[in-house]
Amino acid sequence: MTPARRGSRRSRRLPAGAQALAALAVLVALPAIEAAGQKRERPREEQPEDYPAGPNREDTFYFCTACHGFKIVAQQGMSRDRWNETLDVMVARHKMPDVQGAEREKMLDYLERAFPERRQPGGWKNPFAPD
Amino acid sequence: MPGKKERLIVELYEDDPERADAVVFGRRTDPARRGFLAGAGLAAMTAAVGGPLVFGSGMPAGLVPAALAQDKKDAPPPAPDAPKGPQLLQFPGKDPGLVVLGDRPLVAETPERLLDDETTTTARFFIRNNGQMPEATKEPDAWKIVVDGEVNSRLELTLGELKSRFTPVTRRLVLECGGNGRSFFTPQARGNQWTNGGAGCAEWTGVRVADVLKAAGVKPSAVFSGHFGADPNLSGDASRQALSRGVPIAKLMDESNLIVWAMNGQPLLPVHGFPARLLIPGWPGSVSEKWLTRIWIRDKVHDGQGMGGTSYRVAIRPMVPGGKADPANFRDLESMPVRSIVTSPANGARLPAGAREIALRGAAWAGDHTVRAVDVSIDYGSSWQSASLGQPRNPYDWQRWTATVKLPSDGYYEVWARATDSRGVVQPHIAGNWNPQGYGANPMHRIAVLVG
Repeated sequence: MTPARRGSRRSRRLPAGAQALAALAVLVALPAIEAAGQKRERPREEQPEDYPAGPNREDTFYFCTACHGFKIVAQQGMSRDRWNETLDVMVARHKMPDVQGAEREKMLDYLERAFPERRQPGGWKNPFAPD
Repeated sequence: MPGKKERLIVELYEDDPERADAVVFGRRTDPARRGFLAGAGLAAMTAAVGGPLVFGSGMPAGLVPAALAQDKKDAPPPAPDAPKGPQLLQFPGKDPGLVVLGDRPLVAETPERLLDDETTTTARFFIRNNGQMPEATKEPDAWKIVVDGEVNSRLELTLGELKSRFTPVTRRLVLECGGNGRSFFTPQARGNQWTNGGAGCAEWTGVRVADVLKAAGVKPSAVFSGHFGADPNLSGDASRQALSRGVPIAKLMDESNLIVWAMNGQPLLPVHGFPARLLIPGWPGSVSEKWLTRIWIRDKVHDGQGMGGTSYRVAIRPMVPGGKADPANFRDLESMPVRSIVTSPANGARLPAGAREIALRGAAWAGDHTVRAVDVSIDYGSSWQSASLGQPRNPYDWQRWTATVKLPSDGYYEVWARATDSRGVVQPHIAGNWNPQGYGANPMHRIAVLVG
């Protein structure tokens, strides 16, 4: 079993230009939101890049999306064991090819890292949390 | 004025829901915010919720305050590339305020504030598909439905024949996804992360399943039903159903069960099962097959897609949350549990400084049962007051309720609502009886309101 790789997650640093842009974005926050509203008019196909970066992202994305959207995957947060059980359920009940060995471990590496078990209640979002 | 503010929020949402989410809810959260609350006490909590934490001392131990529910002390940094905020639905005939849980299959829930209509509009009704959408038939009245198995005479009826041969009835009925409330489980249970929005109460028109079964003549050997629809399995495997569940014969014969072709006086939308679907209220929505083609009367418990294992099932002996499931320890979820929601004001409503009361509206329902009482609290359950509760129009209707709560000061409040069913069963504070696929979560509903 591959150990969890949380410790190796690199923090993302914005280049200076992007920081300036971010500051600008704060100044023009309202128009940006409106622009986002307009953007919703044109939905696009989801892509691996929509989801957390990490090794094996592309393979996992295309394997799962042969049958279903990846959003259902990304909604989950599970331990490696429960991700493994989930793949077993997909094989037993939903016609997923029974991938085992290194291929399965690779997918589990990605799933466990990108969508780890979340122990906090998920269903209620704080409407007043400070930014 | 609270009422005026409410209307403003509704207008904002009707105008541009995404912008409203950002403006009213402040939903665009900055990942960097995480960790700010680590180890913080009341002072930090107060700062975090943006106002005095009224009744803080009465907050039950072990309960994360609602306003902090999505924060976690030692959480790993959130994934950098994750899409931000809820994805809102864009679908013909559907309200753009619905929140997409999945695109393929299409699953979208109705935020509680959009369940404020007495009768849920078709546009605001939640969507739960399990497979691909079948192509809409051009000749709905020629659509065939078969009733076979343990019956004296096999029936093969067109929808047109069903309409003319049996007496149509219209009923207002709650339809609720079996996984409604799943997102409240800790740790997270597997499946679509419904809040309370996998439910709605529409007017359905159709014929009674019991009348059709009487025409077929159910044999004494009948034990269970198996329902079939025309939606193809996601994998494309034609030998496999997208979903095929059933109910014991006693439940099947309930006279509230309908084969329906109309929703709120109009033909079903394709996404809701056009031209005909089952409506078996009170139980997980998965037994109310859409695009209905067949009701198979069986001499044993149905074993179709979505039956058995841990699907639509709950633990018999309570299991350790997050633990490994013993498949022998599971039984079908039958009646849905009692649930209440506050539908107005919206979670995240702001009231002007000095506002000293809030007019609340909501709905409550309880699977096979009725709702006996709804209570509301603004002090985390330290004290409760009764809401004024309406009566159901017919069995399996929901019950609307209203209440007015008084506020002692400006500040941050949570309004909690709990319902009690006709047997005396009350909603719990948290989702209990954890199971791997997350059925039966019905904790009290909470909304946050900021005054001043």
